[in-house]
Amino acid sequence: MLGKLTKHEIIASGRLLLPMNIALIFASLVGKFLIWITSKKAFLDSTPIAFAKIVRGISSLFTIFYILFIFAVLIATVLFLVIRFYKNHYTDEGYLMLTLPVKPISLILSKLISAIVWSIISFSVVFCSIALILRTDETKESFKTLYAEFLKTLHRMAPEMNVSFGVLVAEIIVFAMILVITKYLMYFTSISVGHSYGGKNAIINSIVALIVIQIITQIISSGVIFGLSRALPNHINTFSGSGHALQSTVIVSMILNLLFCTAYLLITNNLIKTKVNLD
Amino acid sequence: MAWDFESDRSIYSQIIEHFELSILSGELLPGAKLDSVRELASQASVNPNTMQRALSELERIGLVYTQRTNGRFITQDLSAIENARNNFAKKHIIDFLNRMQSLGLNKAQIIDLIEKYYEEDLQ
Amino acid sequence: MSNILECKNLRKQYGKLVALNDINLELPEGKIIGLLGPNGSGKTTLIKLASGLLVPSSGQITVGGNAPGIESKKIISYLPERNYLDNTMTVNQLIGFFGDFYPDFNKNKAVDMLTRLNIDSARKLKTLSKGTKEKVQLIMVMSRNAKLYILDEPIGGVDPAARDYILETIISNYNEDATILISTHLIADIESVLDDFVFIKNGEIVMQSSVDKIRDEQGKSVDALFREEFKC
Repeated sequence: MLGKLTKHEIIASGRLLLPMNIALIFASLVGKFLIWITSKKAFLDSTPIAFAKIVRGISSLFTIFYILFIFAVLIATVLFLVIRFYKNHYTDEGYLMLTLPVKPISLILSKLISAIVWSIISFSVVFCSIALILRTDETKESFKTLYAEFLKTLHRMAPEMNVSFGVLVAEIIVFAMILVITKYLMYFTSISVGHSYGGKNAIINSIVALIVIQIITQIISSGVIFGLSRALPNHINTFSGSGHALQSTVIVSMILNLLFCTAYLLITNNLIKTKVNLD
Repeated sequence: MAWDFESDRSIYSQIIEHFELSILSGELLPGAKLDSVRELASQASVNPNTMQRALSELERIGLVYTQRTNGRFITQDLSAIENARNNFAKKHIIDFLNRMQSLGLNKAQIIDLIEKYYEEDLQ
Repeated sequence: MSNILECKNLRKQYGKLVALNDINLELPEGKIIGLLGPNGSGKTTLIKLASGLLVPSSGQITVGGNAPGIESKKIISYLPERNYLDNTMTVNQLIGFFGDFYPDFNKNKAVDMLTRLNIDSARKLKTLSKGTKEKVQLIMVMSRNAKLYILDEPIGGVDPAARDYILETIISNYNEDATILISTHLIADIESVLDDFVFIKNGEIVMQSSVDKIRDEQGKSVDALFREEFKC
C-alpha cells in the first residue's frame, strides 16, 4: 500500500510541480538566448540603437524575474508539499484519505517520500538551470577550475576526517538528505499538533508549534554538542578546527536528527490516528 | 417512476395490492413474465427485501409462480384469479358497506343508491 | 443473521459535550437501514466512529467483528456529505485510485454507470458541476462490493430527478450480503426504500424498528412518527 500511496502522491504533486520545473528550464533557455544575443557585438552594432537598448532592458528585467523565479520554485515546492499534507488529512479530502485501508504511518511516509523526490528534482532543475545560463564558452574554463578546486578540497579533507573520499561524498549526501527529511517532518508535525489542539486557531497554532519545535530541537542539539565537547574534548570540539572533530560533530548531528525524525513520526502518527476531527 | 404509496399502511401490503389490481384489471395478463425482484424494486422505488416478501406472498396465494430457471410468472390458473377477484371485491365492499352504515344508510337505501349511480354516473 | 455493526456502551465526548451517550446498537446484515435524527443528534459522530475517522472516548464499536482499523475500512464504503475528492484528478484517475486501494472495487460497473450518465471520464473533477460531482462520488462508493455502505445525507439538496437516480442506484446495487446505512433527516423521500430505521436523539438511540412494522401497528408512516417523536 505504501508503494501505491507514494505513486499517487508523486503524480498528484507533479500536476503542479512538473509544469513549474519545466517552466524554469524554459526560462533558462530564454535567458541563455538573451545572453547570447547581447554578447553578439556584431549583431548589436548593426541594429538601431533603440533596438539594442530595448534588448538590454529586457535582459535586465529578465535577470530579476529569473532570480525571483528560482526562489519561487524552491519555496513553492516546499510550501505546496506541506500544504498538501494539511489538505489531505485535515480538510474534506481527509474523508477519502483517512478511510483508505492503510496504516496512518503509510500516509505520512508517502508524503515524505514524495517530498524528498520533488525536493531532489527541484534542486537538480535549479542547479541545471543556473549552470545552463552561466556556462558559456567564456566561462567554461572557470567552471572547470572551480570544479577541480572543489574536488581537491574534498580530497584534502577526507583523510583529515579519517574517512575515504568516497565515504566523505556519501556522508555529505546523506547529511543533506537527513536535513531535508527532518525539515519536512518538522513541518508535518507542526501541522498535526496545530490542528489537533488548535480548534478554530489551527493555522496559528501550527505556526506556533513550528517555532516551539525549532526552539526545542535547537536547544537539545546545542546542549548535546556542547555537553559532548566538554566530555570528550578530543573527539568533539567544534572550535578545534580539526578534521577529526568535524567528523564526529557531523555524525552526532546526523544521529540527533534521526532521533528527532523518529519522534516526529511517532507524534504525527499518533495524532493522525487519534486526534483528527474533520468538519 | 415510483409507485404511489399511502403513508399509513405497510409498503408490503400496498405492493401486494398493486399487483392484485394489475392482474385483476388485465394489465398483467395470465402467464406474463415478471421482471426480476431488483428491477421491480427499482421501478417501484422500494426496498428489494419488501418486494421479495410481497412476491412470496403472491406466490403463496397462488397469483404468481416461479419457474426455477426462467423467473416469475403470473399464474395461468384462471380460478385462482377469480378467487382473488372475489376476495378483493369482498374486502372493498365490506369497507364500503361499513362506511355507508356509519353515514346512517340502511341496506335498501344503499342498494337504491348503487343502482341509481351505476346507471347515471359510472363510466 | 449476524450483525455487521455493533456498539457497546459507545461514548464520544468533547470536553463536557457528550455527542454519543453510552449507546448500544446492533445493525443486521442484508438490510437497508435509516439512521434518522435531527442535526446534532449524534448521527455524524456515530458514522465517523464506524468509519474510523474518530476514536471513542469509551466503549466499543465493531464492524464485521473488527474494531475500526484497516480490516474494517476494507469492508466499509463511505459516502460523506461533502465533496471529498481531489479536484485535480480526472474521473479516470479517480477510478484508478479506487481500484488501487480497494480490491472490491468494480471498475466496469463504475464505467458503465458513468457512461449512462454521459459523464466524460477524461474530465477533471473540478470542471464538473456540483451535482455531477456528487453523482460521481455516489458511483464510486456504490461500485464497491462492500459489506457496509454508509451514505451520509445522499439526497440532501438534490433535485427530484437526481434524487430518483440516487434511490434507484441504491436499490439496484443492494445485495443481501451487505447493509446500507442511510443517514438523513429527509425521511419521507426514502422511507419506502428502508427495511429498518433507527431514531437517534441527543446522542441516544430512542427507537429501532422496521418501517412496515410501524405502519402496520401504528397506522402511520415513519415520517409521521418522526415528527411526533422529535417535535420542537
